[in-house]
Amino acid sequence: MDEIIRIENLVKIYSQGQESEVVALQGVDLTINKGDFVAIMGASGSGKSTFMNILGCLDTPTSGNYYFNKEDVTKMDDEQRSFLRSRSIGFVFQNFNLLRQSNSVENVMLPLLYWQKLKIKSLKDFKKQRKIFATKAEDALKKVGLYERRFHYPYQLSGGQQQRVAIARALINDPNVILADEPTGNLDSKTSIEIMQIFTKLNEEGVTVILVTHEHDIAEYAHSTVEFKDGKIVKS
Amino acid sequence: MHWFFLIEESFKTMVHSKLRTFLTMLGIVIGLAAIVVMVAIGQGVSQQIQDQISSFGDNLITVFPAPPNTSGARGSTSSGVRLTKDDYEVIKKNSEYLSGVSPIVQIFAQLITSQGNWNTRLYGASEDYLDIRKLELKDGRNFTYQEVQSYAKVCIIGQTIVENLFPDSDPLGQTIRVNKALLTVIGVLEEKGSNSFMDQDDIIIAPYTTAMNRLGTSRRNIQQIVCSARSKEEMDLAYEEVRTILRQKHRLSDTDEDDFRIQNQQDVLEASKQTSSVLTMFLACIAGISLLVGGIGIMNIMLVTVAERTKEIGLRRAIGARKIDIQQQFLFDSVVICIAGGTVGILLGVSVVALLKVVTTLTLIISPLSIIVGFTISFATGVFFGYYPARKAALMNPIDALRYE
Repeated sequence: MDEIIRIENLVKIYSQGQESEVVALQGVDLTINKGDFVAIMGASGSGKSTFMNILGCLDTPTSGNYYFNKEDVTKMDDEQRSFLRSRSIGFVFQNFNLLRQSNSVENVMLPLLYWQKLKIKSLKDFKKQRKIFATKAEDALKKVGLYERRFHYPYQLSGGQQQRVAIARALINDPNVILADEPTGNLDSKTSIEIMQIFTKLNEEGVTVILVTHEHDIAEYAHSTVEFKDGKIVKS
Repeated sequence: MHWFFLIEESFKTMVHSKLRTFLTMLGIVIGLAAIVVMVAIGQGVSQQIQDQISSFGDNLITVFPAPPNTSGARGSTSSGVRLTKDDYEVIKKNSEYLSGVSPIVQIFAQLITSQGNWNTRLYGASEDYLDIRKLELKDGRNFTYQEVQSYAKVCIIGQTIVENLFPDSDPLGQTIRVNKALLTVIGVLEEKGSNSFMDQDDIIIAPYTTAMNRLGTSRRNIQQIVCSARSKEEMDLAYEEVRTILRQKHRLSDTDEDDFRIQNQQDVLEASKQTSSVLTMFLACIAGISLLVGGIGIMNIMLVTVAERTKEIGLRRAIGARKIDIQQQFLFDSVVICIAGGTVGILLGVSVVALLKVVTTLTLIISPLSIIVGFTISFATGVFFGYYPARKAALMNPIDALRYE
């Protein structure tokens, strides 16, 4: 199987050399293949959040190697990492993080707006481009079963519906990996099941899903589980 | 992000927080409205001054008795030098480039008729005076050379005097008592209107000979000699000519300084233009301060906005926005607010000026330049005061931003 993520001896130390020095990760190795569904577990302070941030290219490790799709992330600058995030990673957060001022379609198409080198020279081009983006967004909303609510604003949606919009947003770039950080943390158990079914379906369609959770019944949806303790992987 | 999408994003944010957008704009609106109004006032005043100076004729040359830089010590030695009737006559006789010459003798006088009395300044002048000052007669006639020579007891009056001394009758042919003499009204001047400096219709003109000899006090000296050059182009020649004639008349050697002063109307106009442009600048600066306060208000609110939208910044970074994208977005918000506020402010300023024109007699001038500059300033304000908050937003750590509550 093709690997999508390879992590070798990853170390992350905050405030290195100072009195307040914190070692968040001390030598983590992990390989994730394309099409995997991995749950990352661990208590708070175990280092799993730090690990997720590095995995999502939002943070850089102190030392160690991180290859995403065989590319060395540790050698990338901020702009290159932004580019990687926009093309290859879809984020789903615990508190949805939808823009209040935008409706569902606009929220979902947001990642597309950060694509570089759009050829827009006139208002006509812009309308055409926007239409293309909106159609893509509507397709993504169909996948999460929220097409009917495409013109609703976040405050008009329930928590589960908001999370589905957020998942559609994560899908819009056809990412290699979806990183879901406690996606059911703010949802009741019934809605949580619905959301996890969506992730399962997406995984069956070939998307790699990495799920951070502290709930065991949620982690059960994943094919494998990685458990963090004191900055190390204790079980995988 | 492409700027078409930036506009859309910015617009959505502004509409979403209407009150904040409005309050942020308000500072810029008031600042720019103030600039437009202040500059309109400044330019109006300067236009008024220049119109007044031009109304005296742009080919006017005025001779005054003493040099302007007379110090106390020298003043005493040259204090005897005055302009006389002979000075006037020699200029009149010998000049080539002048179309008119008139002495001016000013006398404060009380005018009395059966219908009222009025205190004003009487101008004793020659028959050329009306032409030199570009005064038009509405009724009657000018006095003649012969009347000047014969100390004729005649006068020409302006509308204000007509209204005060002859409210219900035709003034032509009637007499006015001026000090001890009775002057017959032979002409009435066209109304010139008043400006904020003086009433140009409060004027009475008599032959200078009459003014010097028949109005109770006997005067030997005249205060000014006004001359008009034949054309604007010959101003310099006329100026030199008058100077040469007077130097000869006063028997000044080559090393002596002039014991008189000649003022060229062009110089006066230039000087007043400078003064009034300083005035306009001064008013614009005062208005600029309010714009500065507005700009600081923008920075303030932008900083609050950045703090409030921290999570949004984190999200945008996570889904692929570069630092420059975030910076552009916040800078763009600020510029859009400033340009929108600037537009409203300019419109408001123009409306206020239009209103002031209706309800007051002020001269106000809106120049296209002040509007162009206004737009430029609002754009610059947006960039200047939006840059720091935008930079701050761009440099936020995405992880901290996402975690921000």
